[in-house]
Amino acid sequence: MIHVHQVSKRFGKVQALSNASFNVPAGSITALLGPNGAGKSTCLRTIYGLLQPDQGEVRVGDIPVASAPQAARRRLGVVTDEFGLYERLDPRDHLRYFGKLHGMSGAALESAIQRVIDELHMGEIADRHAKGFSAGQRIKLALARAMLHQPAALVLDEPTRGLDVMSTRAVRDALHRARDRGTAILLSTHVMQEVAVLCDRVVVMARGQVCYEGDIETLKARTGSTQLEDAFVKLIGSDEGIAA
Amino acid sequence: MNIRELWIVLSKEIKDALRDRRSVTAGLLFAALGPLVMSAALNSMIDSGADKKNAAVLLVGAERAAGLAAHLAAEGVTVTPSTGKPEELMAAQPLAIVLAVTQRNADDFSALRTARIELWADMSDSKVRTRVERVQALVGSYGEQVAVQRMLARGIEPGVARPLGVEMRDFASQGTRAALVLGMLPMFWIMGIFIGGTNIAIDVTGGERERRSLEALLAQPASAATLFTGKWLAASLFGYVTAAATVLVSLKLLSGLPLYELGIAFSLDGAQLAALLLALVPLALLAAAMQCALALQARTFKEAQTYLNLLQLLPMALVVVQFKGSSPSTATWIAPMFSHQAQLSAILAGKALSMPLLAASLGVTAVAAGLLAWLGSRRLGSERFVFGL
Repeated sequence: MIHVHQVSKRFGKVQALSNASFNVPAGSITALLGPNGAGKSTCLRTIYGLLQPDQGEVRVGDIPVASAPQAARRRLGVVTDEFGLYERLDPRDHLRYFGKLHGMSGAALESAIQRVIDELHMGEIADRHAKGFSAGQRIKLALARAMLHQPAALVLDEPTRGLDVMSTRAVRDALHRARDRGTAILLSTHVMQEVAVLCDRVVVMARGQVCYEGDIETLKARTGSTQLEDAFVKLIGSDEGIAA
Repeated sequence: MNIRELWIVLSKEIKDALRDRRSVTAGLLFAALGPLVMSAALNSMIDSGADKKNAAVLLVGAERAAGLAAHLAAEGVTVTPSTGKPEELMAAQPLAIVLAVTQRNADDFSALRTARIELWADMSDSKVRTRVERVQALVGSYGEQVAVQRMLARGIEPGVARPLGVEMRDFASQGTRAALVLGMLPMFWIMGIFIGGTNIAIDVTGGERERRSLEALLAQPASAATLFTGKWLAASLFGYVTAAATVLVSLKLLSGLPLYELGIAFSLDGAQLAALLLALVPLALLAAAMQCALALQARTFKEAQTYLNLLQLLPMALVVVQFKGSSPSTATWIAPMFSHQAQLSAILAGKALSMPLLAASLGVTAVAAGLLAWLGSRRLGSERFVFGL
């Protein structure tokens, strides 16, 4: 569903991405795993078209992002690294605003809003202003907002950062349900444990390059490690910036 | 650009800003307090005008100057016959005006010599000064009256001693005089536009980036141009509503002031009010475009605040034109803000607007606003702005 093909991006002297390629198939959860500064966020931002690659191409389905960013974004649900909520709006306001920007309206919009509120157990906070939301409440709202229009693909930048156990579980359940409906899901993370329980596939990134793409078992077999963490460290040649 | 999307963005920004205390209070405070300050200033003008009429003198030796006392009283001056030395009277009442007619003055008067009567006052006080000028003029005019009577009694044509006389004919119509005195009003209203839009313009641009919601917003299928336009129109609306409220409040306050005491007939009909409110629209759009574009250029929220607070002072430049006093040049009728002030003043004074100049002003304003909106849209969607590169 998402195709990243030989993408390079440079910021001044920093080569953030160099010749990165991978795919995110429909009905799967793919982890973009790498230490801090590996280029994960840059990579995600080229997928939703806020950064233009210097070279290479990103497609969502068969839509090239660079030449048709709006069409590509219509098929995407995005959770950015800071979740991006409006403090003075409540969750229903958020969902209505983004739903409308995706062309939804009327009864269909309202029932979709109720669906995601139920699915992410947000009934209690649905009418409270977002100011003062906990990390768990914020991610739930950001995720609900991204899933509202039932996008073909979900792109999430470190969605489980700073979450407690219950919130992590709620996010995991929601993502699994979306995957089972056939959504292609790409999430970046530097938390190893998360990959094992949440994801089907893994793309390992270091220094702007993709050094592995495939399933987790193959990764372990290829590096000769039984533990994912060891496999990862062998692959990138360092354990810097990785949380177990 | 898609009108439906534009409306979605605009209505969200309005809802969001209405819940922001700072965005709302700045405009409301200005709309309430600005006109109050203005009418207090006018009120003190009226007071000083009234002072001139209400001059009062202490007349020492009133028994020797019955004719003069009657003349002053007939012109509305309160004459209080007093005794004692002028120095002592002044010491007791520092703001008094003392007119002293001595026995010697009376003798001189009877003997047809010039009687030099003394006028005592503290001329360092501006209110006293205007009253003294009036008393002085009245004493002088009484002297002229006496001179005319004496000449007529002796069969001499009064014109012999008074070859010239000047009569002032004030050519300013009541409407134009009102516009002169009330010339400050349009500047106040224009300031309202800038003040009302400042906070929301920062909030929807740099503020949205600072709170990290901009990236999520730009990842939605709406173009940066649509998003910018929605934000810009929301800021325009806040500026416009502030200015319109300032117009209504100031006109309401003015209608309660006794402006007729200044010789000003101030009344606006519904059509004039509608024209005023309409004339503010183009500038509200331009000012908000400038505010949003400028806020997008700033690296941080604080920097944006500094720029936009400085921008609020821009209408002060209008004072220069106001007090130069010369009639507005063609450039003044076309340049944004200056032309809008000229239009507002003309509507207030009940003058007709020149259609070609109005069209030119609209054209220049539209081009400037369009250019700023184009720059702002590009900036809003740029990598450099969104990620602070």
